[in-house]
Amino acid sequence: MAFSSFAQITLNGLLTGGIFALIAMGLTLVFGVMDVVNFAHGAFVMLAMYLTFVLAKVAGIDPFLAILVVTPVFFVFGVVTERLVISPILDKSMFAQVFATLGLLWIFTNGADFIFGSAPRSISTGYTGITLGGIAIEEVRLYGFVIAIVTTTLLYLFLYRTKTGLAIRATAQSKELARPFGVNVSYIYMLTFGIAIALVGIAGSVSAATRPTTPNVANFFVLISFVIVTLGGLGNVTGAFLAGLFIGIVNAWVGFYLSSELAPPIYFTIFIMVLVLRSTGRFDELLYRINAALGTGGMSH
Amino acid sequence: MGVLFLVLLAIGSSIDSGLQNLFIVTFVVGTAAIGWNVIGGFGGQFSLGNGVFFGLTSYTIGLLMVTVNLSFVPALLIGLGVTLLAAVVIGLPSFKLTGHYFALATITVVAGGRYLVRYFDATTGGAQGFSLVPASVGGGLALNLTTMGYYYVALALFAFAVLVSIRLRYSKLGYYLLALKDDQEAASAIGINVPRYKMYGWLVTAFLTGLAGAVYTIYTQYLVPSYMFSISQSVLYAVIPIIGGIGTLLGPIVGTFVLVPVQTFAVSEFGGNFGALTYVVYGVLLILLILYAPDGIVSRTGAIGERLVTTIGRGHDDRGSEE
Repeated sequence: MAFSSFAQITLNGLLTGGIFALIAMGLTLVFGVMDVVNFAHGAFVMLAMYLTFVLAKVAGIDPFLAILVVTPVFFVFGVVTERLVISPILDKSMFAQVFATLGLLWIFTNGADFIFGSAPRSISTGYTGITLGGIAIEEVRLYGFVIAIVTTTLLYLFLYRTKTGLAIRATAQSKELARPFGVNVSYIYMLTFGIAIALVGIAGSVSAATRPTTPNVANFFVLISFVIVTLGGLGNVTGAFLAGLFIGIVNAWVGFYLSSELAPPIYFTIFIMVLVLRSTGRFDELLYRINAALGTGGMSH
Repeated sequence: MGVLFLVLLAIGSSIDSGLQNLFIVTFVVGTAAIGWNVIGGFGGQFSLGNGVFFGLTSYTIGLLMVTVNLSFVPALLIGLGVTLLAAVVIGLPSFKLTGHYFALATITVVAGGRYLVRYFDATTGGAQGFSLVPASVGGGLALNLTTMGYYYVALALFAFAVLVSIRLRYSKLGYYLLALKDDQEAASAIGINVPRYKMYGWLVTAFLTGLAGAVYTIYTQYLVPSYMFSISQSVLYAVIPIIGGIGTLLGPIVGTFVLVPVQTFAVSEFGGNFGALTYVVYGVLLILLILYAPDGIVSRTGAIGERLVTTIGRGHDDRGSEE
């Protein structure tokens, strides 16, 4: 009994963690390649959730099917946002980046609040639960996890097996050095932000299936994404995935054995400790060793 | 500046309680914005978690008054003490971080604080919050003023914050903060103890923000984590001085009177929906200012702004060396 409930909780945490990782994936790209701290990241996820909700409500489209609509729409949304707001602040101070993206966060969350109100919106899907070896699994979580794995794998292959991916990684390492090799840095930035927000579209549709949507989920998602991206190493796709699983499991364990209200304070504390360690260079050294041992790699810094 | 306060002093008794409420909120939020401007504007450390000072002070005061029947003044002193202690605990690790990492660390502190308030729901009332009414029944002047009384308390708070800000700006601490904002290494090379003066500035910020929370506590007499430990309020405390003119004496004051009354009025007249709409407009304004006029309203109002700065700032160039 004790073991099966432990297995149950761990598996649930793992599945949720995969979805967390999917949510953070776009942020690690933007952070790692463009070195932009995008405070509006969670707000993009929230908007994708609302779009999925509207598609389900108005046209009866299944949230997982909605990915096919939401993803291209959000790619365009990302490209437009990059041209209008992100590109002009790239060469400006860190101050401009922080507060311009906070401006986006305000526009998106309060805009959603104005249109949809603050009451939670849920999609009623036909999905139920399945039982595997005595462990109950919610179908939506399982499918969300599978989508997270597929998306991460495709992103990894894109970055490490294609020419455009190589250009993105080169830009992440040094835009000054990438330029003379014929990389159009401005175009790469636009593309990277578009891809990041397209990934957010996938994450938003999955999240809309697994949890209710409110304007405030934006804050939760951006903070948990920053935690995951920092733990996984900036720009490191596989690192972000593993960090997502780790946070998902911590979330489930703390939630079950202590209280769900204690989980965020605990991983926020871990986050600040990692940031402080990073500032001394020790964490990067540790990550480098782990990556060397696993044969995985980050992109920058 | 004096004229502004004389007008505010004179109108207090002749406006209705709705307007008095609007000004009380404006003064409280304005005090927190002036507080942010000390560490953020003068010192260049962009905290996004100042709500934690607001919340800690208000919750400590509220809990002491309700559970052990402490009167307001000792509760206030303990509340501010707790807040300053927390500022040291938060500041010691966070000040090792620079730039956006400092902003990130501080925003998780206020978010974490909100979860902790909900965790200790047996004492704090959790997400529903708790009321100070049991304490006010037993007497205690602080909880039994009229709306006009709270108007003058809040006005005094705001005036105090402005005075602290002016004094600090032209003090040793003020010049040191400006110096370390420009270049931390250079500041430390000329012998400024950077961690120490950052911490001093941070404590002033925490003190003013906590004081704002204290006044708000005795006025509303109802504490909820969603307002007291709010991420969006914490961001607002930063956005007000940025829109007004970051690092200037006048910026947070102008920003407060531009942003807060309109939003408060929209919420009370048209409901929370339209309150949200005003924030959409502020978000657009913020982005436009950052792209086209990063020094804020004060520096971009041309001749009028120039005259405002010279007459109200008493001839000082209160923007210091910005770049």
